[in-house]
Amino acid sequence: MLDVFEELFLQSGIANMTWKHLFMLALACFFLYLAIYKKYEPYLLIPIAFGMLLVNLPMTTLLAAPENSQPGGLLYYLYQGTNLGIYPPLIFLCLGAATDFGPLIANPKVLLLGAAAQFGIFSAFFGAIALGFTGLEAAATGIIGGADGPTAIFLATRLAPHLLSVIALAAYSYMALVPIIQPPIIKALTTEEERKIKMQQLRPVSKAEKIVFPIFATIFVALVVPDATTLIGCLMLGNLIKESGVVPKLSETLQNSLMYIITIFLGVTVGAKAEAEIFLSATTLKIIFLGLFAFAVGTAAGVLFGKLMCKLTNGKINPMIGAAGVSAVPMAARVVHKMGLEEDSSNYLLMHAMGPNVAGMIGSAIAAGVLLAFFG
Amino acid sequence: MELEVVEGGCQMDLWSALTVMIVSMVFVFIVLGLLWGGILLVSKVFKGRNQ
Repeated sequence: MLDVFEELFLQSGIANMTWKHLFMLALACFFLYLAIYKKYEPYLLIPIAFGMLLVNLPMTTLLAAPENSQPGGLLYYLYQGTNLGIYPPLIFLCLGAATDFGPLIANPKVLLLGAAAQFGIFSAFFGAIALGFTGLEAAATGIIGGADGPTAIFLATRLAPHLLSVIALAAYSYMALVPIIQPPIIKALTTEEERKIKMQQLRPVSKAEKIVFPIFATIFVALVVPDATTLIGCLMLGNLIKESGVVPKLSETLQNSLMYIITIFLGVTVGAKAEAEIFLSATTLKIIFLGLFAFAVGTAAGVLFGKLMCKLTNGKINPMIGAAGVSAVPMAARVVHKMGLEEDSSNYLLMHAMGPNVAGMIGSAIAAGVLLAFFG
Repeated sequence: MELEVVEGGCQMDLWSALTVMIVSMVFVFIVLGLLWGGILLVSKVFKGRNQ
């Protein structure tokens, strides 16, 4: 009788618990706290943290692959959507339906700000190589600087799947911390006069322009950077569905139901890859540092390029909007808008910052395509 | 560009990494710059339609 109990106990999670499991469970609970009480990216952090919690409970078989005609664990099957690169483009499809490219079409020169801010990605890539990462790992780590979760996950699954959970967590954590990371950098690089610059009101954009833009952008990007077609194609399809105005139910489904369904699957499966052996290593610390470095450099590059454009346009561009080029839609644009209002309560920069913000989204997808072309 | 392939990925020297960084950055600028030109072209044709 006692033997049976002993056998049962030895097969329980309690008997197989190690300090690493305990640490990961504590970390998962900490992330749940941040998501629920501090409201840091709760839509993503709750599923990610819970996935992390599930997979670090010993003796569970949620991630087990099918074996000898026995079906695999639930998360194994759900993870295939991440592993095969299905979820991130679907998120892009939904984001496309929720994005207004009007400010970008009205003032397309801000595309250059979106390009400048991608410097964060490539400088973090260089930093990662200097820290001893392989080319594939460095490329996957650098993309954190794109401030675009789906793009980071898409590239990590292709180039360095073993680092997926750390990269995804770093990307989303820093995106949530944009209001804390960006303002000091923007303030340090701009003068009070520059921050007070009021920009001309954007011209109205016609419906035809908004419909043609996603078609044109897809054809153009696919021809020039074929590796970026998956992400850009999905983004633009979502946008076309919205702007066409003839399929409102599809547009509504993308912006709400599908977005949330994919977010749950993506979050739980990314969190489920946060296994103790990988997470508790020096590599994790390096990635967290490189992610912050990428965000800071990307913001600084955007602002500095904004200053250059300000000079070239005789003060018509507020350099702060360059910081929104790091993507992190719409958080980065909101940060710029708030800082503009702090300097002058009648300086509304939100729509002006949305241009470089969505340009950054396109820019980071193109940067991912370039890195895939190099290392994929 | 010399890429020494090792197990688990590519080990790169810093010069190769710097080259990748500069080439990629210039490429991103060119692509987005061309997209800027394309948008101007699209706007020229479709501006003011169905407003």
